[in-house]
Amino acid sequence: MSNEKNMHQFDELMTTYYKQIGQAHIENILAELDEKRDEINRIKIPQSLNVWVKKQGNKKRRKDFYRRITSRASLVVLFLIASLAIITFTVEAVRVQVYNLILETNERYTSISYEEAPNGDSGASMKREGYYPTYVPEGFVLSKEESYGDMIVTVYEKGNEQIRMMQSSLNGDTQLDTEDAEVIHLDIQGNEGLLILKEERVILHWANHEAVFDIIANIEPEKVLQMAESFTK
Amino acid sequence: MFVFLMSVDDEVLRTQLEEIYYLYRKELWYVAYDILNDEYEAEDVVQTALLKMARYLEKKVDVKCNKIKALIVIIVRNIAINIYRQRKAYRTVDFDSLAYDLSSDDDVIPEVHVLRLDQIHYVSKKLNEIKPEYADILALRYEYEYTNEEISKMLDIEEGNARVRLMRARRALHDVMEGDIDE
Repeated sequence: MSNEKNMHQFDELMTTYYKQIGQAHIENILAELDEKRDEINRIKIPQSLNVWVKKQGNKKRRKDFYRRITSRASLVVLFLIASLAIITFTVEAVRVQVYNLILETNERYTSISYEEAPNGDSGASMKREGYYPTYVPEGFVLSKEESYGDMIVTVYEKGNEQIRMMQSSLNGDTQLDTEDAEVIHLDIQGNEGLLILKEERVILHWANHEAVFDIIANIEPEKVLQMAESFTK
Repeated sequence: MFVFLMSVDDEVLRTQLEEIYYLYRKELWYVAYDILNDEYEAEDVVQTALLKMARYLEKKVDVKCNKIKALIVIIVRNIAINIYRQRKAYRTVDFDSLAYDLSSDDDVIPEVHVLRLDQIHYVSKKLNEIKPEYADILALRYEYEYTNEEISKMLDIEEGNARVRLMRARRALHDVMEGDIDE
């Protein structure tokens, strides 16, 4: 009995000791990271990882969002409040920005238009020479390049894979199919963009001060982003 | 309207996973890449670790605390080591052959040890140098108080493997304490 009691006490003692070892290990890990702080700070995280995390966050938020919005009535109220808010936002925004990206989403598509601000500079029409990517994913070759009015369409192909790029003037609206799609807001060369992931298809939409761009492809979104970031004249 | 909804949502509901990522992404990437030396594999490891971490975090936990930071580093490190071993075609442990090891957990003889609390950081560091997974699993079991089952899911190993690793970690620790393992 006494031996059993001793063993029990010993087990308790060792458990406490292991806990102390665990705590010391945590402190050692943190100290080791601190020692390598300069090296760690120089690391550049791949954009694809940032996109993945954003996508995971959006999934979670959407799930939580739909859980909260359980009745049709509350959805209507939210819609009205949001509509008023976006009008306010837009009026405020046009004072400081030349163009504003206005998005209106319903269940099936996202409608986007670019409006010239009342006090903004003119120059909405795209210059004819257009933009081109300096990066094209390996193996893709230019298969088509055509102009339709203000729009330039460029197509790259590699077997069954296709990248279709469109650039057009800021005049006019764009409607994007966002039904059941993953929609991610991101930054393309300092401009707001939308990455839409729907089944195997990737759509990237953004605009700069001169033109509106769309890339539609059935390749990895990371490569589409890399292409967009490489756009130049 | 969509932009407005999304921005409101973002402000209110930034997920724990995102919080952890934006706080520690460089550390996590560094740890994974340091082991694997491959960007794609490092990215996979960070993603896997974040998803696992999200499953085990309580909703109200403060993700900025050091204990959480160390936990995600431990998870990343162990997943990266698993992948590294698979890549090197290391043989996996045959649990049947280890059954005798699991028959008793009395792997410590009380009389031979003197517990020196002033040397605890040294002992822990030494154990980490011998085999980081051993120090990691002791921390997960005794400091974070996860069960063997939880540890196995967190580190992508079999539950039996977690038990074996824990037992070996304790033995290795005792060897370090006795000075059986030289510097």
